[in-house]
Amino acid sequence: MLAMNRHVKDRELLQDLDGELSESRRSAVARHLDECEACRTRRGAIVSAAFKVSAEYRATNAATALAEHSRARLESALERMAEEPDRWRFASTPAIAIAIAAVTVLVASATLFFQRAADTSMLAARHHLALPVASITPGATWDVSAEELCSGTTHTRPITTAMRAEVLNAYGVENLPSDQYELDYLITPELGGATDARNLWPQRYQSPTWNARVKDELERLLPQLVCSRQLDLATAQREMAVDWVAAYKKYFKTDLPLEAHHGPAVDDDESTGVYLLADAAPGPAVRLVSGSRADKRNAR
Amino acid sequence: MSKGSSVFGVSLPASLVGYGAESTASTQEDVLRLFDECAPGLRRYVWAFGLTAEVTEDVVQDVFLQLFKHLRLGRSRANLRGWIFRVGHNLALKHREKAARRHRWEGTWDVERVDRVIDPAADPEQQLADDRRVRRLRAVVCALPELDRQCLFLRAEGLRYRDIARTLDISLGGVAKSLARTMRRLTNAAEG
Repeated sequence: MLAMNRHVKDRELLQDLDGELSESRRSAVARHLDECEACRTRRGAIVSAAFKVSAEYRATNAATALAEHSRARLESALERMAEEPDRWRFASTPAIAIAIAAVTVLVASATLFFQRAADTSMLAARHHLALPVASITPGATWDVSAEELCSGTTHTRPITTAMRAEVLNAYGVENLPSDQYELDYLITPELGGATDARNLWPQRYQSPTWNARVKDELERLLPQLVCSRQLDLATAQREMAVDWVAAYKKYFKTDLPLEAHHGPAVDDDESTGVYLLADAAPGPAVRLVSGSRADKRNAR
Repeated sequence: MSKGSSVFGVSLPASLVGYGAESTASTQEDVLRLFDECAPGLRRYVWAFGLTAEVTEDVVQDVFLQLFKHLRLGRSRANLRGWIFRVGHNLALKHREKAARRHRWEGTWDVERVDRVIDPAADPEQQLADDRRVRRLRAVVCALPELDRQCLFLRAEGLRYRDIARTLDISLGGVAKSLARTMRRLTNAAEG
């Protein structure tokens, strides 16, 4: 029981208001409030402030024109997802269906394996996707200058569903769960990287060493070097396109990712990586990066 | 009637997948029902990160698509409202980080997007006093550390302390302390 000479703390008054106190504490606070005018006054002030600020916040006008079509957009997306044959449906189907699916998967996997084993670029794609396949992702940039980029101008466009499908299909990873990869820009938009299928590849979060989180750090560093005139834009773009791992080693002066550059593990419930729109306006002219690995391969 | 289904190109008879098909339809309905219930609050919360309307809407969509996957995987249906805000919070953070990197900008709550909530029936003098009080409250909210502001907004969305704690990855006591600290600032501002 609360002693009368010990006032209730603001924290408990608020917890009481929010129904967050245990039954016994709630009774003790109620008894104290019956007797203590000072605490009742404080409680009144807290109630009033809490009510006003909640009302203010809830009056935030977040309902934009986009929100009007939000439900229809979701319904349509859910319809598409429901039609997709996928792995989760079978979490709840009868055992016999699972058995049939398992056999089917085995046959399909074996076929896929033998088809793809013959294709060296696909083998590279399966090698944790740390580096993109040069013939699929040579790198592409908008036609922009370092001055424009450093002044904050970017030409980022939404990645369309068609573009995403094109990239995933090219890498043969259409069925890879979206929480396991980030559809990443080879040349980051901060360096003028274009929203173009030739500049995107599915980079695995769980690649053991050279993963998306490590690349993010390089994507932070290179624009800083460009904007502080320590590195010219074309070199930065080329180094990203040719071999970002080599660029990381060069600029961070290390053979392995720095300890601080290993991000937290991705919670498969709470990560998606990319947001897709059905349509997107075209951007400015796109150019391929000269000196990319694709060029070198073609030259050989 | 339940439909047949195709898995990796092989059609399965409806009798084998009936349960799954019905389950999918009912999951869609559940997601839409939760959308009707939670989307306005989620949109408001995500927008308070200072994201654009387009990105806010993408985050909202994505949360409910993730929810659909979550439910189809047969995962827990307990406290889905808390789950929705938690996922929305994480996605909003991720988007804001990307936007900040691209535009060298850090979004924050924009008070200009808050509609006035002053009682129109009050007399002009009272309205002016209310207006001043509201401005002081807004100033306090804007000046709050981000964690305190997020605690406050999640509370305003009706989340329990344990859900706020999980969303913001802090302890239950941390939520109570943050809210008490904020309320003290707000009451001081209201009195001032």
